[in-house]
Amino acid sequence: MRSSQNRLVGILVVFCSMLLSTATQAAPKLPEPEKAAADVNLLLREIWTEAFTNAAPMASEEAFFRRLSIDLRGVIPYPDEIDQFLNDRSRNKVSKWSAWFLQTPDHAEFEAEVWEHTLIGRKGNTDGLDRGSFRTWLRKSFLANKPYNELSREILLSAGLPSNDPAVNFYLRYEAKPEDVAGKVARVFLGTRIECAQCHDHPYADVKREEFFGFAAFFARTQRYRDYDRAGGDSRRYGIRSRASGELTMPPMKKGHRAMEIPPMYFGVRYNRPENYSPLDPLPKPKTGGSKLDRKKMESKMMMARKGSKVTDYGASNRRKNLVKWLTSDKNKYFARSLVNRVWARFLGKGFVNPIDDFSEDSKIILPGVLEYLTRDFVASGYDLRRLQKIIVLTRAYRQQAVQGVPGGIVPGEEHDLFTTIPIRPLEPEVLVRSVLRATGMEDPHPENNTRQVKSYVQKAEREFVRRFGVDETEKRTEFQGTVLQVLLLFNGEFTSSKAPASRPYHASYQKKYPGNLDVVLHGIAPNRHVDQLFLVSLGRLPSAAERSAFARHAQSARDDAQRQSALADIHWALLNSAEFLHSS
Amino acid sequence: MKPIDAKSTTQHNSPSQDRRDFLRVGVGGLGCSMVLGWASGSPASPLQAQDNSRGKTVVGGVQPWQKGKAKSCILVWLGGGPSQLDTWDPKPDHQNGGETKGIDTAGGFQIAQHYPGVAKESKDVCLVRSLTSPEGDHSRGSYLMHTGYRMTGAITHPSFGALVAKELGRENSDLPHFVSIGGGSYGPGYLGVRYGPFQVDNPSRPVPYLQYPGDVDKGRFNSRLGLLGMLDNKYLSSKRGEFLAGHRTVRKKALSLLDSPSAKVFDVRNEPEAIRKGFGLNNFGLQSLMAARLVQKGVPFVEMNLGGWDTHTNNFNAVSARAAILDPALSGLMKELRSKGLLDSTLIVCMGEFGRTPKINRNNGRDHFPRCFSALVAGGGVKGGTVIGSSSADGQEVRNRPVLVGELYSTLLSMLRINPVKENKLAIGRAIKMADSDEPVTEMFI
Repeated sequence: MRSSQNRLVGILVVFCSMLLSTATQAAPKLPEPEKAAADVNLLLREIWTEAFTNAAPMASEEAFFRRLSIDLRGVIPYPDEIDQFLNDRSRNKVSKWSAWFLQTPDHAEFEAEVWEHTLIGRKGNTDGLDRGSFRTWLRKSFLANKPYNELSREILLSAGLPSNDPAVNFYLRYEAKPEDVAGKVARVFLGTRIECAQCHDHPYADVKREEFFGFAAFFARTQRYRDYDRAGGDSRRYGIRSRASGELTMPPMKKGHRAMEIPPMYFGVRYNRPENYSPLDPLPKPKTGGSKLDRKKMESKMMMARKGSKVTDYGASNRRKNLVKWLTSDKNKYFARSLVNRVWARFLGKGFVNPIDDFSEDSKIILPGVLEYLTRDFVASGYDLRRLQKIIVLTRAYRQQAVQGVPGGIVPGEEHDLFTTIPIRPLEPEVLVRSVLRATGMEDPHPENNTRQVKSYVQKAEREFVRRFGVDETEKRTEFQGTVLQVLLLFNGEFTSSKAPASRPYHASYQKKYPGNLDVVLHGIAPNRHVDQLFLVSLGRLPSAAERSAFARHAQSARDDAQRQSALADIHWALLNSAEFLHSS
Repeated sequence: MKPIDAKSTTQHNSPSQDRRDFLRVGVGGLGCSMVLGWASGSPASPLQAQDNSRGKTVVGGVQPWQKGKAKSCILVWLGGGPSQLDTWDPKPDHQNGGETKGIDTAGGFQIAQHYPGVAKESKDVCLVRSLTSPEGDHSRGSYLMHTGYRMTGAITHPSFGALVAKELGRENSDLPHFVSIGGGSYGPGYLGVRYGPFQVDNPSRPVPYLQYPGDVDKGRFNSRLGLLGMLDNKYLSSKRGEFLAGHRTVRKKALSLLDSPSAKVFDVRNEPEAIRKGFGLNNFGLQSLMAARLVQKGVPFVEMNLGGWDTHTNNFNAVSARAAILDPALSGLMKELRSKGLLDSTLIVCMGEFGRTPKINRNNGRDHFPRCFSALVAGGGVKGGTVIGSSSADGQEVRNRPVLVGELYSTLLSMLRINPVKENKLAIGRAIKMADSDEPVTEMFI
């Protein structure tokens, strides 16, 4: 096994062979994000050189800025921002602009959206679930740049009604069913998939059914309850509370076997004492290492459970507290690591470990050194999510051109791609709808000025796009996912169409600012200028000379204002339907 | 033909034996190997064939699914959980039966009195009265009945329609492979959105976005496409890859649908009243008519949706009102397909997420009951006039031949000539079988 990895230029390494304990090191002074990114670049360059490869050329300023805006704010940039960025001559302008993006409310809103999808999915409703309060709570958390460990703790320890503690929506989404919650928690916070061990021992990783149910047993006393108002009436509200007792029973796998109660067990701790355990420590193999005594203990515990005697030595009073202590500990590096992997994958199109929630003892890691560096930095920074994102966008890997497959034959997503390509990705539905609204001037930078008409238009657009573009979060983002319905919506839907009634409620200042917009007919302005504006507002770049002359010709054929407006609408339609607009590259 | 018994299956199941069986079938019977290739979408490899022979075999080495006759499927979804006692499994002689009486049918069995139309068509109907499921919750039950798998946090399973769309959809067809009318279907899950449903929300209104925007005619649309082509040719030629090629393919399909005369199939609201009447003059009747038209045009899977079956209160008024809509729609659909010679090749499945409690509650209603409920299967080569399994006299238990949801799926896929144990590969490297069981209820169609 070892030799085959060496053949892969020593890039893919067995998970447990590259361990660096962060917690035991004295807290070093944190380098500036720019310095940290430079360190990462050194690591990247070293590996690329060793592998006789290199990153793709740097992305153009325009393409990079569009990408930065999409990745940090979930929407394309405004034309005046593009102007400012392009005219910014300072050396640290990427650092400056990313810092600015990261503190905007737009960023917090986008981050909240991404995390809502991660934690409770885009779709799906259960009794009592209040997505609105969850989103607001997440947004506030990200606006305050709440440390990730704190955020996780608040989610996992939540209790009460959503109106008092909006984080309970996480449990409400899964009806506080221990098995469902456990699977989700392992996936989101540990980056591992253990759910399949619910029905059978994990086929690939070393997870037994007992372990799954042991992990789920931490949630056995977490309960969804229905709230009744004072008069005894049913308020139809649900909340989350902890019971003092209650055990989880593992259903029998075969007929004739008996169901058995399972005590709580930290994930992956079959033969070790949990308090000594860090998921990064190599697990003792049952056959070679490990203490037989411990194993016996474990078995006797299970025997006890089987007989129905009460297990009391795992902090029965508040199991979740114990779990959270273990889970969010600095020693538990699945926790920080899987987060770093998740965020990196969001920006680079794939993670160090793929799928991003498939960490296990022998997961293949692309560039383990970089993952280690970023994880250590993340923990040392006090789980600072903004800092992590800033470092990532400053790396050379993020700044390269996006190419979907290069002539040399390297396809993004393949193992030998050492982040020397960045894949072209379709915009997420929510990002797309915001970008369409922005590019058509239907998004008002001052929502408080919005008329009811604008609001209902925006809501309709969101509904339509999300419904027709809705994707499952588990799918690979690099895979093509388009459907005929989506194309039709963009072709013939009102959101990209020329049907621009006079009532279309533009904000006056917006009109003045971006005169290229659909309804604005400016006398005495050359078609070239219109074409430029439409390109800028949609694609974030100016047209090439060939594009400019071809598109201007289309506009010039118009004989009057009405025709000219139609011609410009046609151009705008083409831009909004272009592959370049629909993707992030 | 009946499956050979378990003992002889084990005897024949050594790997070498399997391979020999395959050689005999594959080389000796050319026809069979062609069938394999067709159904799996790729030439049959020995490996696949080995997998294929792992399920229950019938004598002669032919799999039950290879005897499937249906080419398309219409799922008539009854959202909310229809009462089996007031539809396909009436209990007029027991107090649990309530007000609902039974009527004799052409199929030789009895159904609830509210279904005279279906009764007349029953020689092509097979009832399953012994379905049993562990899910008594609406969302979990719907998921199970729509996908054939229980809901887990780990993966999202494709719905029935998506499975069929992937297997039976023809690349060169202008129309979508999976149309869901009236909402309510489930998505493509791990198969990816390209196999997801083409949503027709309301059959009494034009399908949105299927016509050019108001002030755009064909000429103007083409000139727009010219501009778009200019942009895309440049972009797509500078960036390569399967993924952007996919973008192109889908766009081409959308354009061909826009231009296609087949798209008229969605305009059933404009058909003469005399025709619409045969399905019931209401929204669901239009759904049914549209489903018939879509199948006539070769669409392999259509799902239609009638809600309102969650009859916790006032069960008997509700079920008779629902029946007044369902009966003409379902029987009209069967008549229409038969008159076009398509009933034998169109599988009609009518079911909901679970059944309802036989015992009538205090509000004269019935509550959720997944332990024993019914489904109706018609056409598509089903053995008409048959009843699979039965419930106890009070309806509380399955009396004989329990049918698990996985087995039902195995059966339905087999009837569509889809190998129910064929595996779909997931991105994470796992493979999941089309159906959660390799034991189709063969007596339904063989």
